[in-house]
Amino acid sequence: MVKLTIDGRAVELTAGATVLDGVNRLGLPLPQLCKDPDRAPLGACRTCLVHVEGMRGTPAACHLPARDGMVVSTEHPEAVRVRSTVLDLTLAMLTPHAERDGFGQLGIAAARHGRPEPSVAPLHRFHVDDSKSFFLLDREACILCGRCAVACGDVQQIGAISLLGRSHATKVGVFGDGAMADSVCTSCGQCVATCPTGALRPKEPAATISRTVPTTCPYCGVGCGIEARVTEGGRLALMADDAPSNKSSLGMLCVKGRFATGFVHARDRVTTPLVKREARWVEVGWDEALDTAADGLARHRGAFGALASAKATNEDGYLVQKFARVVMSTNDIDHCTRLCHSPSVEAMLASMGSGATSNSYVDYEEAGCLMVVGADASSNHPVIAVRFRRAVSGGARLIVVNPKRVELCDQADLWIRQRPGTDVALFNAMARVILDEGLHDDAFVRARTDGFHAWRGSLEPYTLAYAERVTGVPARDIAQAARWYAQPPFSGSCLIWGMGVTQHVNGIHNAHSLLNLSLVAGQLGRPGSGISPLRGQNNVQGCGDAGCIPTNLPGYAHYVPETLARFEQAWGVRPPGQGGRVVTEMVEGCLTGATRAMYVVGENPLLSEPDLHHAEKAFGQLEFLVVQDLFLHETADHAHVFLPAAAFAEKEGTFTNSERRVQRVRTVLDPPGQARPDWWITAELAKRVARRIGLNVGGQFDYEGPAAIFDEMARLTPFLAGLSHARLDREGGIQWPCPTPDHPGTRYLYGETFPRGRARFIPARQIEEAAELPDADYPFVLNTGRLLYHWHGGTLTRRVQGLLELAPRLEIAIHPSDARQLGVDTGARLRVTSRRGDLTGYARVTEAVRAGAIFVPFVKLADSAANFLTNSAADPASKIPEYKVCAVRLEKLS
Amino acid sequence: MTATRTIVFSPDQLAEVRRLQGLYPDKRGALLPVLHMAQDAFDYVSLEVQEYVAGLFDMAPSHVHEVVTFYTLYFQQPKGRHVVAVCHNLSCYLAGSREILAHVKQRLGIGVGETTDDGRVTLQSVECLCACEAAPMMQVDDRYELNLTPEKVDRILGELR
Ligand code: SF4
Ligand code: SF4
Ligand code: FES
Ligand code: FES
Repeated sequence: MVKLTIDGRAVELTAGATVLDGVNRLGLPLPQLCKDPDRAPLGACRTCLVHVEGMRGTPAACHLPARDGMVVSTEHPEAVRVRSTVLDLTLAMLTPHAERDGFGQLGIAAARHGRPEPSVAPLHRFHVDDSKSFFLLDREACILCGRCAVACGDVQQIGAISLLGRSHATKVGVFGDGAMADSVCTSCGQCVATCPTGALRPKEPAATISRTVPTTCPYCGVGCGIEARVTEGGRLALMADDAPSNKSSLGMLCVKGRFATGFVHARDRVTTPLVKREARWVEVGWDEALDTAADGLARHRGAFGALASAKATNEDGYLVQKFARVVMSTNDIDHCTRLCHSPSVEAMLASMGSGATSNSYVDYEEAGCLMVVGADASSNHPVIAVRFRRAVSGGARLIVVNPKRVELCDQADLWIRQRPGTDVALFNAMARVILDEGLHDDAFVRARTDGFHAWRGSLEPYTLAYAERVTGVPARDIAQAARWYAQPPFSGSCLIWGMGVTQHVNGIHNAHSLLNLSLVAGQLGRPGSGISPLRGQNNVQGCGDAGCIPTNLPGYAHYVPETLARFEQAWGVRPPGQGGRVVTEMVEGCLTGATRAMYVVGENPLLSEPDLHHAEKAFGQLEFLVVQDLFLHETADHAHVFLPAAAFAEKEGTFTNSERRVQRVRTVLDPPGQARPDWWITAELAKRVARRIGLNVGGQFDYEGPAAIFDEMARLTPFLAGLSHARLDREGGIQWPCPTPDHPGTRYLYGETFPRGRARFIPARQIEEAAELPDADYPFVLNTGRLLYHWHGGTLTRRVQGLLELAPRLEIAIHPSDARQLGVDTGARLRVTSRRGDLTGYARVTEAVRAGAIFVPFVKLADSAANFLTNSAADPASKIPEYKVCAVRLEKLS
Repeated sequence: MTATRTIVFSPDQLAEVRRLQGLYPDKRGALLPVLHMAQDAFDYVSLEVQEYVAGLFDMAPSHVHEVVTFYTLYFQQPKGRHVVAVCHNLSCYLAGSREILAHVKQRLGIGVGETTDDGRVTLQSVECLCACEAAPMMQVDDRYELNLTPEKVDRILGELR
């Protein structure tokens, strides 16, 4: 501790603090234009000058270490005099303008120093760069403090902008001094959030922010903290602030969390309950809507399935499964994880006994080697990709395994471009190298695993020569990857994978071959190591935890008598004792009559299911469909009742992110019109159905609110037992397992033991490469995935104007050699046809894809969606559809 | 002189890059000398060269661009066989650098930052070169030319081939 006086007031600071920290602690009005409160001082602006007794000159407070006994003055005439001149000269860099909003901090400070107008005319005029969709760079309001360049380079590790030129011609600009839109900028807005003068500012009329509310991003599984800003007009401002205290995101956001929450205000939000009469939607009150829904669902008890939402909260999901199990007496409850990571989860459950990511994001930064398989993190998990980039800057080896040239390849030490569908051959061969060269962790294998010898035997055929032939990857690259992964230059290795591994008919084999690799190398259960299936949706982890899966009860409890009894005691009704149907089976069941009614909450399966024409037919057969959502989407078109739900910003609850961190979601705004939180709607529906079927559910669906629902879920889920809304409010997000209220949460799993005791090696076989291979009629392989600028099918992001500007149309990535043969250039219109459907889009000629392969994101733009083409052939074990590979043909359109 | 060519260092040059990088605790310390090497090898540091060098340092190209645009001795366009850099800073200014610069411009028929049509001379106007005692002055290639007068400038320019 150091004690000093500032302006006559005593202040005590921790060692290492600066004089500026003391000034701010006392709340003194000292300008500090170039100091981002969350970053190291830059010392560039010289507006924080103070006087210190016994020191020469006027030092900058932001840079000055606080020392015991210092006597500091911010009001000393000499300090004020020099500071006024600095402010005057700084102000002279700017040109006032109505929209420039007084230059924020600078304007206020200058006025306070009696310099409302600069005494000299500005020297240089630079143009405004308004090429980006969400924000602009107005160089006449720029004081060259450099905060934006730090945000872009050091924080986000993008390096799009820097300070170009020298002396009075210096300016903020991009590589080659062109437009920002033509640079590598990803629109994350980190620079906009830190700019002190509004030179970088959102493209919306300046509005007064009446309050900010900390909450969690509704998009991807990274789970970044956002500070939602509410304008005086009661709307979300275009730009959200980041949350530096959030342990998962550390003050970072990507374009979606920063700028894309405006969908809550979309004009076509449904704000009144709807019932379909004579094929038309009719607005009704809640009672009528809920009664109609309850009538229909009660009629079809026994042929019912529920689809919960990985976008909704844990509390919402918990109630949907409770409704299904308690009232509808079925385990036919599922959510979209089936469509992304079920092979990972199934494989991890079989091998280790838990399906969650074993490490934390911080482990990526501490690892000596990262191997990223089938994941385009820069697009899909942008803030995790920043962690990867930081690791690389720190000297870690990055191995990217992907048939497609994803952006991460730019930073990779080694890019392994295997032929699609040959992953098992690749990873088994790596395992053989590890064993043959004695790089495995013998102690770990002996002490912590089973099945080693049988598995080792199964690797016999997977020589480097075989793998090279099957995968097309040079043997020396395979061997190099194996060596780096097993024995990184320092710390441990993290294995990270995405949909490229799982969305295949051999998804579960792929997952096992990866898990075996981590076991033989002993690369899990300690800092800087681990296994991470990157989760797509914001709450896909929590949705599974809450029991929205047919295979397990909440907390992954099994259907065994003791657990069933435990749940019966809590719920008053015994849940059914057999596993239920997964979503793809429920949809198939529509055609056979096994499914006659469905309750679909916050999902749009008619955009996300494979082979959409087929799925559409199936949903068309349903006798009764209740959809609960924000918008009338493709699935809602087939519904009989539509229940308007509150969006993420209009309700309380929790999301659980990819590193098992349970985080609060808070009410920022009231729901529009009559929209209601999902948990309320589900509870009302449950009570009404129960009444109709004569089931006495007592007070089982009477909750005071989401906190009470969470408490019930935590009581039934040992790994959440130590958590409550109150605790999360106090301490911020906490990582499960957290079994008791005084447990700090868990950074990494498997340090001592696995949930199933010892982990098991499960041999994986290279089977046929894909269910549908290209042939003469359909010569191209179609690969699907997501985009940075759209979320999933685009139901939300198509309603955000700035994102549509960044990615307005469906682009089909095609290799130059194929483009030449077809005679197309970038921008040409193309039709893609598979055995199941077709779509049109625009060619983007790029070497990112292999010759013979094309890539189409599965967002729906202008009525074209990739899933009209994809194959519903599924991995027999986990039942995930094969989105990643299907055969198509291409035609040039005029 | 500046026909397009592939922007890659030879193995020897690459070895030199590695050696220079090894001299600093952070290899980025070697950026300036490596940019000079690149300028010698490829005549000037085009955007393509800057990207190539950025790759050798695992840096963002914009950060290399920042350095290149900061220093006057890196050329982003093909430069003439000779570079004339007239100092415009305070001492030289007070001693008449404005007239000297105007004279040079007029004699060469080009503006600052431009190169004569015959590719003979590129003209720059630069900050203090630490020869204030002999102001006004200019640098011609690796040489300082001091205490300039218009007549002296004529002679110097006349000698450039
Ligand atoms: S744009 Fe803003 S943050 Fe960037 S240098 Fe200028 S004033 Fe600073
Ligand atoms: S990385 Fe994911 S959670 Fe974070 S801001 Fe972007 S979309 Fe939201
Ligand atoms: S805040 Fe101290 S120099 Fe800018
Ligand atoms: S001012 Fe010209 S050399 Fe110093």
